[in-house]
Amino acid sequence: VGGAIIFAFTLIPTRRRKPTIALFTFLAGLYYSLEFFLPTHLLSDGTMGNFLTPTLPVAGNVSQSVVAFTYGLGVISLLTVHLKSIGRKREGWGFSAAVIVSFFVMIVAGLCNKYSPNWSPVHGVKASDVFDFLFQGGLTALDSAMFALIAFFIVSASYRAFRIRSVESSLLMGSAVLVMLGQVTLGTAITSGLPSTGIASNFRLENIAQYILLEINTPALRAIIFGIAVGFLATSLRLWLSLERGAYFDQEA
Amino acid sequence: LQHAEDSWSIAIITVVFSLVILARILFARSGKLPTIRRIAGLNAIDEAVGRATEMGRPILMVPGVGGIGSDPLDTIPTLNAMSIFSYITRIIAKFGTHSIMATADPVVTGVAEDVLRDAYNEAGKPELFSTEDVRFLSDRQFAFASGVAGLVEREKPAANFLIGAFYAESLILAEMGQRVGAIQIAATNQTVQLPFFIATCDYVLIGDEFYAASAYISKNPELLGSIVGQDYCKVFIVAAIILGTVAASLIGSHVGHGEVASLLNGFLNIFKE
Repeated sequence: VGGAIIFAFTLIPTRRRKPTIALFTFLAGLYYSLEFFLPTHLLSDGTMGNFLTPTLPVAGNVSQSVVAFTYGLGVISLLTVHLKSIGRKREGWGFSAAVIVSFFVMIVAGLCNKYSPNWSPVHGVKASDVFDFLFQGGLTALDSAMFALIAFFIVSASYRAFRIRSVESSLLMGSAVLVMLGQVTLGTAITSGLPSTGIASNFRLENIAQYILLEINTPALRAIIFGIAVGFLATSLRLWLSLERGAYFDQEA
Repeated sequence: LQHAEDSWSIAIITVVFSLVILARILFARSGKLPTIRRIAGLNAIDEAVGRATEMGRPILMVPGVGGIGSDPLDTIPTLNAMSIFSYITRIIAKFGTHSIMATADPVVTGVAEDVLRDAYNEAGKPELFSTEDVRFLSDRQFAFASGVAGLVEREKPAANFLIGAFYAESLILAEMGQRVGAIQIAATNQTVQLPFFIATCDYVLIGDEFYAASAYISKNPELLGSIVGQDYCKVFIVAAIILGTVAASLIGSHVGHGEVASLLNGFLNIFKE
């Protein structure tokens, strides 16, 4: 069905595509809204739902199928950029070659692992071992290395953020120091001499840190989240009704 | 929350907010345009594009790592980002500057190609568009981050626009831009990533500014109307917070008894569900 939908879209004249997309967007939004709002009853499979609920997996599968077709676009984009880079010997074309080789090696290894994991291309080495080596030893390790970079970037970013240049950055610096000290044993040891109950306990670093986090930071964050949630709703409505003016709903739409 | 019946209060509040926003959209269509406060990050778009043009360096646009279609929490910000990128691309086309968009999702790649092509066409410079400028790097978060880092290092963009759904990779992307001296404008719906952007970018759209961006830059009456509708909804939320605080305080201090207490509890339960 997903393939049929994509094929049908290609037959629509260009000038009618935007109204068609708007119509489909509206119908899809209406379908999910009705499924959510209509009263429910006990269905034959023992779950609660309405007459639209059993069709949800079908709608989900069609949507997934349509999305699956777009993976081809990604692959084409990737191959086009890197093959041209190799063909024209652009600066750093060796990296593009590495991308292309890795791409095809991983496809072959993935397919062998899926359909013939016990096949042994080299004596004593199974296809599944090759895949595991590439995936766990290569991709996952590289992913972790990139993730680890964040720690170093946090240092340089916080150095810039905490530089005292204004009243605001001074407040930020001050509160950051208090929160950081309040989270570590060494920090809490500084004020460990203060009583753990009574008014004086409020001045223990761990309590100050908690106060900053829960009474100042959390309300501010919640206020931002409220704004985001309402904005999200408004944007969803605008997209549902195709009111959003972007390139894909350009001025003439 | 599977169906409205699971929590009628949430369903009713959603419908009421939607109606308020729609009513303001219809009202705005009648002609009276509301004004929106100045948003520095959006005013700086022209400055960023102009700077890249003067320096003869490209502009990098990243619509985040969120996809379209799989998760609404990623889809809506990504589509919203595309709307903003459409506007930015028109300015880029006007200046005749080279731009690159790095994507982490194949669906976004397709949409991005259409967005950029349409924007260049509308600006009357279709020859400036190349499908090579929309680059699908990887759908794996850190492979994408490393791809963007490499792109920034090689191309040395003068302006970076990081707009969309970002997660742990946000700091890597923004720090790399900072290192090559790019002017950076960021916006995301992910509140956890906002501090990283604030620390590394020149301008950041915070909270609902991100969703108000397309209305702000397009000055479209319907979109401006929806922003006013959003503000009405926020007034309702603030009123509910104040009333809830008063109600909880009254219950806590045992001022309200019997029917009064049950009324106050009933009011609080609407928002607790």
